[in-house]
Amino acid sequence: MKNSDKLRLVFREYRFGCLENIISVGLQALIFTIVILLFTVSFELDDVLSGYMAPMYSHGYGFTLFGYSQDDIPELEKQGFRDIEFYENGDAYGYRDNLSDIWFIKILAIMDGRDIWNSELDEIVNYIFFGQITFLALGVVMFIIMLNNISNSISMRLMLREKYLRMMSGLGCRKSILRSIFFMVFAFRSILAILVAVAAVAVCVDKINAYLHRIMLISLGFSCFSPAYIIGIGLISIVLIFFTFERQWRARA
Amino acid sequence: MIIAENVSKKFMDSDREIWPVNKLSINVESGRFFSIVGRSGSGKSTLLKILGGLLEPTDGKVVIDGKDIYSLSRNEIADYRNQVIGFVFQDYFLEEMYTVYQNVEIALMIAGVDKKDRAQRVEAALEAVELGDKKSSLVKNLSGGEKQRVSIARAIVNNASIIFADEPCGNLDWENSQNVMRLLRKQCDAGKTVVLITHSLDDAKLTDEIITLKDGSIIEHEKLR
Ligand SMILES: Nc1ncnc2c1ncn2[C@@H]1O[C@H](COP(=O)(O)OP(=O)(O)OP(=O)(O)O)[C@@H](O)[C@H]1O
Ligand SMILES: [Mg+2]
Repeated sequence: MKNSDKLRLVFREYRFGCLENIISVGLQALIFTIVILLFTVSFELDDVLSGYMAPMYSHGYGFTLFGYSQDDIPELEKQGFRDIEFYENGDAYGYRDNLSDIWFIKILAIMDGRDIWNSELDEIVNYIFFGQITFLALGVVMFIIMLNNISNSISMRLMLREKYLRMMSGLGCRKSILRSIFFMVFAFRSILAILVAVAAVAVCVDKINAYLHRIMLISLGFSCFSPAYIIGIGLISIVLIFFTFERQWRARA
Repeated sequence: MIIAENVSKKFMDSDREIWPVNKLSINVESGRFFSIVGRSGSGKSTLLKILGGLLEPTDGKVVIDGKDIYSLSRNEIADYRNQVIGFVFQDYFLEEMYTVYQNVEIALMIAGVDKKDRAQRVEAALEAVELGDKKSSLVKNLSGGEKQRVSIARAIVNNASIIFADEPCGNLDWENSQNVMRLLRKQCDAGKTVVLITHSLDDAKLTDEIITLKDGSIIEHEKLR
């Protein structure tokens, strides 16, 4: 079969179950939006909090650095510490301008038998840690819920089109061609949903930024909200949808 | 020429074996019109599917024009069905939401025929079944007789040399049945092999050879012409 004809058949499929198509795209877009927002908040929570507290720490955030030596200065500087000073007892003290990735750096230090510590900030570092973990977990849970929803919708659609599939096989259509046509049917729906979700997230981020700017004069970089990040989420989703589709396709045969 | 040698098919019904086709051999000569008759459950549809490359037999082989079709790969069998064989079924097997044209065209799409070459061939096939003026109608709006003629058009559009029809008149009234029989005869006169399953002895008498099945075996093979 010619590729243009495959596409023609894919688009003909959208005539069946019009309402179901719209609901499916809408639902997927909604959950994608929530997932991306949760991931974004999770990634950005450290920057939001440090931005919020920045006026109280105009000299930067000071940390006591246990277990480091002079040789470690380049590594510490790479991690964002500056003005590092060593005391006679071997401990050091250093400043950072923000709390980006602070618990990640702390965990790395602890794994090496060292520590990065500030009595005042320790509680906040913990909040950041649990906040990021919680939002990340929520995002993953929502993502799994969405995959489950997509899986059900694929299985329902394949059931609805069972007679058509048998007709096509009877007419001599290769199984692999039918499979690629139906995979495209579901993949295009999800791609559309992702695009809608990205637009929705862009609007949300804009609104959140405007709000944060008004109340605390900071704006989120949302570094993760970049083309590479979106393409990454899109690719991972399509791969997962492919495996979901494969499972349902085999279950049918 | 279709040669079935000692074909058998086994199905499992819970833990009981059923052999709807049992050590059956038959030669279907090219260019002739065959009918298969027999009581319900005698294995007619199962035999037709085996002969048409839709159902692999448990034992035996089917040789069409010198090719043992079940020794081919799955893709090769599919291509073979598309290019050499046309099917017509009692319940039409059409896509109701497609137009008449699209239903016939799909067989050509599967064959990889260019879009610009399709129009002429689809129209010729629809002319042959006297549906030239219905090509843009949705199939769901057609009568049973018209639907069956669409499925005949689809079976012949690829220039299949063999047409298998499983009770094509089962849902049709007398007049529409006569029409379908006439169209199948026309295909046979044009050099195609036609194999028809029917419950009507009147229809069977219009064919060249009548094969009677009982319990998955041939009990009579009568040549009329
Ligand atoms: N997929 C299957 N699984 C189990 N048994 C089957 C299957 N297909 C057919 N059979 C059995 O095989 C026997 C023959 O079926 P077949 O459809 O070939 O009969 P038939 O002669 O076409 O009957 P009819 O005139 O009613 O169409 C029947 O007893 C049927 O129940
Ligand atoms: Mg039957």
